[in-house]
Amino acid sequence: MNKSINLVSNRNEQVERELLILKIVRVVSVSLLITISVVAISAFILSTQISLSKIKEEENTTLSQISALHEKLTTYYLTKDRLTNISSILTTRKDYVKPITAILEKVPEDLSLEGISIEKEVLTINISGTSLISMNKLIDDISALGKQNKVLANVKLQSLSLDVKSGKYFVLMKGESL
Amino acid sequence: MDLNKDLKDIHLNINSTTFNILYRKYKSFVLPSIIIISCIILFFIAIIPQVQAVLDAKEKERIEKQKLELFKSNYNLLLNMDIVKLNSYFEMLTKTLPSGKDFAGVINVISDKSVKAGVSIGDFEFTVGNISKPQEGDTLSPSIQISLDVAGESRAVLSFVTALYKSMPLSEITTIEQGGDSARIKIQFYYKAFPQGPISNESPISAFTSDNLSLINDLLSWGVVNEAKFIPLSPSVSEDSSDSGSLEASPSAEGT
Repeated sequence: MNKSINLVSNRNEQVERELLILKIVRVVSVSLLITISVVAISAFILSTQISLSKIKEEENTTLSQISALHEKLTTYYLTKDRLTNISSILTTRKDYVKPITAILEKVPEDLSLEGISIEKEVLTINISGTSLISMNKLIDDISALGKQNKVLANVKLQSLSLDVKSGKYFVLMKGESL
Repeated sequence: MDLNKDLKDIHLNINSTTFNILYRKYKSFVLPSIIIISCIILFFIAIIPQVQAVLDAKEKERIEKQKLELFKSNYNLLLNMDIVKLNSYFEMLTKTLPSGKDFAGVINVISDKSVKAGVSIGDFEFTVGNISKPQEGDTLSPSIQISLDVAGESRAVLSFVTALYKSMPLSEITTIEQGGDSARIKIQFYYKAFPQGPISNESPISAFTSDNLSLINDLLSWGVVNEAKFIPLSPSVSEDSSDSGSLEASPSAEGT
């Protein structure tokens, strides 16, 4: 019989498994320890580098420098305030000059402006003249203005009358100022 | 002998024996396990708050740095602003939009523009409102209204109205009733009280924008009406018991 034959295995699987787990646990523990230490040290170094007091000090210095220019600052703010308000008024205020000028430009020389009124954006114009041709041209021109919808809208011919005594025609037109 | 005590001793002996066996078997696991547990505890107790504190401090630093930049830029802008120019803008803009009811300014501009347009001013009436009330600083655009009788041909009246549109104080024509050689015009003259409260040094300042400068140039082109050395109107004040007062006036030197 061969005495070197050994039926019992030399490898102990249980022990090997425990050794592997031990190895993993050691690696994990060392890694964790290093990571925690690095994070803690980094956080500490970063926190020492942040100096809010220095920034605050600089802020206070700059603010005191601005305070020395307080009069200029006040004038600047009030100027800005005026600019804002003026700008808002200019954009909302109604300019009746444009429609009136546009209408007057269309009035031929042989016709005369009897009256013009504007109230609540409604423009009324009264024109007289002896020439019916000129009167017709004026009506056409003002109607065209209304169609363009630039300065006038909803132009209506209110009346066209003749004063027999003076021999004059009178035209009354209404339109909405834009 | 006490049986219970004996049993207890046996139990304790078994426990301590088991513990000793287990300890001997897993001795090498003890230190790494303690380290892992300590690290986990440290992570939650110390590291997370520390990192959070650093992040908070960084955020604070960023905000403070931004503030500092703003203050520095404000200071530089203010330092480089031409005070003479700024004052002249302010003066001109205050004439355009006075901070209160500027009757003198209104009468000046009407007088000046009427002379230039070749129309004469007849009766006029101010709607003053409640003069005991504080100024309407919060209202969008408070105004004083004046009704004017203007004598002159239609083109001259139009020229007067056009001139008023480009004059100071800022005005708006609300009604025109023109017939023959006279017209009744209602004009609103705007004013606005200055904002109340202290001006903070910490508010942001920006240079005048191109829109601002273009508006200033437009207004400058209107020309400032100088204080009239003579006003061709001598208003006589008639007090009204109602909320709206009125200043009735008749021209003393019509057409001048």
